Amino acid sequence: MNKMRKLLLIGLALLILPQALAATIGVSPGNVKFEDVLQGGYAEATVFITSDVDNNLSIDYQISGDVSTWIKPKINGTQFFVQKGKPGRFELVVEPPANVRPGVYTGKINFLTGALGQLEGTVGNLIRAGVDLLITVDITGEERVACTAGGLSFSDGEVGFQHRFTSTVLNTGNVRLSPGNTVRIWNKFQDEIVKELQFTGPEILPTTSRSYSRDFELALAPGQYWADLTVPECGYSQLVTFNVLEEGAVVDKGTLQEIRNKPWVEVGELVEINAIFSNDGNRFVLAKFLGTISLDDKIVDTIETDELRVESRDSVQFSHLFRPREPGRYVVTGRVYYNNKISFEKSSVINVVPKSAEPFTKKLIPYLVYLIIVLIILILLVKIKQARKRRGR
Amino acid sequence: MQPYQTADDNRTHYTNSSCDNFTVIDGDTRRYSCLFSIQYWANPGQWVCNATANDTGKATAFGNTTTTINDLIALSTPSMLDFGDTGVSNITDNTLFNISNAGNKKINITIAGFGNQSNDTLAMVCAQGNISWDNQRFTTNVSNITAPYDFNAMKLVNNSEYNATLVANFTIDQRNMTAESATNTTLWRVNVVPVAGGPYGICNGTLVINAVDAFP
Repeated sequence: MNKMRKLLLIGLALLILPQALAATIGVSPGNVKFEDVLQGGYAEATVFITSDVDNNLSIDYQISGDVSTWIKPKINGTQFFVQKGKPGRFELVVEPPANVRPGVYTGKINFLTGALGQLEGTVGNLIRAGVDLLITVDITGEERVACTAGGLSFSDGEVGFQHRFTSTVLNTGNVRLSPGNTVRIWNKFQDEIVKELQFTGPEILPTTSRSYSRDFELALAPGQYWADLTVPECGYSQLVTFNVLEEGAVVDKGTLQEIRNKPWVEVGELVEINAIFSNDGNRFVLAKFLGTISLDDKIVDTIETDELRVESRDSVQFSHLFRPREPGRYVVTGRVYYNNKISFEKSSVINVVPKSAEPFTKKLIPYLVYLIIVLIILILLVKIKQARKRRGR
Repeated sequence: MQPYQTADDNRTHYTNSSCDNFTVIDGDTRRYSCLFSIQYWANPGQWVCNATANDTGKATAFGNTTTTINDLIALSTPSMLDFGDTGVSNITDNTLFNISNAGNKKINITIAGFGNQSNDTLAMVCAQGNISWDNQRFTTNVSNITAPYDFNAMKLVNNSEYNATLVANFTIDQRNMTAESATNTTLWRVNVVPVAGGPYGICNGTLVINAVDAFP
């Protein structure tokens, strides 16, 4: 057989020989510690099982240790599948019995792949790769109430219709929690409380989060309002604005995006202050910018621009000129008033430094000019006198 | 945690010095977004992000925040341990088998082997006959091997999946500069002992290679 044919056959043989591909399995986190779990309580955790295998890889799991009877995975059966780019999300619940003594208990969950390859030779082993997830549960007899909250909102609504309060709360304690919620409603100018609402949210299990909402009919006149939304047990509150609309009314929505100006200027320099406003509603609005400029908490100037027509989905720039008379850190604060509504307040800073000293030569210039003019006048006078003398002869 | 001037190291330190993706909040506030691609072998635990800002007025300020990188217990192995063809009454040649740490913590390894199922007293099941569990062995002493390793000096593989052999002195470190820094090698041999009616034909078994956190 000639050499080329031999090489070709060897090459083909290499191509069809079984490839001992590597496979990876991992669990993250590799250790789960449940702390301060109440006797007879509840806790959850999530781990991720990852692999770099391109095809679906089966994963079997087995729970062992002191805590094996307390752990209930949120999964049907004892097998699931993972592949590269699609990690397995494994959620486990711990529910220790009410009569367990306080202390630290351990266990583990072993995650094991199916066979990873296919043998071609006479003698060999298929490999199953596994990782152990170590579990520690610290049992306590003391109740602890704690939570965090976020995503609070209060919706617009037409007169006679309801407004929706929405919140998300994470229970970081070790007892079931039904969080209290407070809604304090202010008028447009935020100088009078017009209504206060309170209610209790749904029960939230320890270590879990839940989003919930509640609808309210407010019986308020149409207009803009502000609401302080509070979840006191979580120590969280948020100020939002909402509208009570005329029946069938279009809601006006505008945003004061920013107040923009040159950040560093000299005393006596003219500064242009621009407030950028966008109309996010579906019809035009008439808008103007009102604000103040303060130095060391004292108002040194007020701003009231002309009223401008701002079309739907358009932006405008309100401008104001200001000349600072002394150095310091000035704060510009203001809101946009549009179609009987008020935007959130924004602010900006102007840093004013003393006027820099002029170069000596620059100071001389006016004097030189005067001197030259005087000299010219003197020369002209002399020439006039001389001319008169000649005429007199 | 490293001082922020420390050189970059994929285990402990990353730098992004060209962070210029920002959103304007108001006249004197911008929100910057800086991204880091973290390698899988980055140390677990609390990380501190130090951010320093300089403006055109030569003012500078800095702040920091913390985040947590979870531990990852992971291993990577070939999909098979293939001894090739051999005859009855032979011991297979030295066959190397690498095990790599694909996580970010040191791992220990346990190994179990069986023919069909755990505790079946077999290492392999053949077309005719079997190879018993104590005729497949391994060693972690793989340096300067020039001859077939003494089979009687090699370690047994436990036949029970639930009572696997912890491989002593075999902790595999997390990766550092190269992938090789996180790989340990084992050496295997199988003694094909003749039994009544065999063994004959293809002989296959299963090895369970398991990783566990070496320092939980």
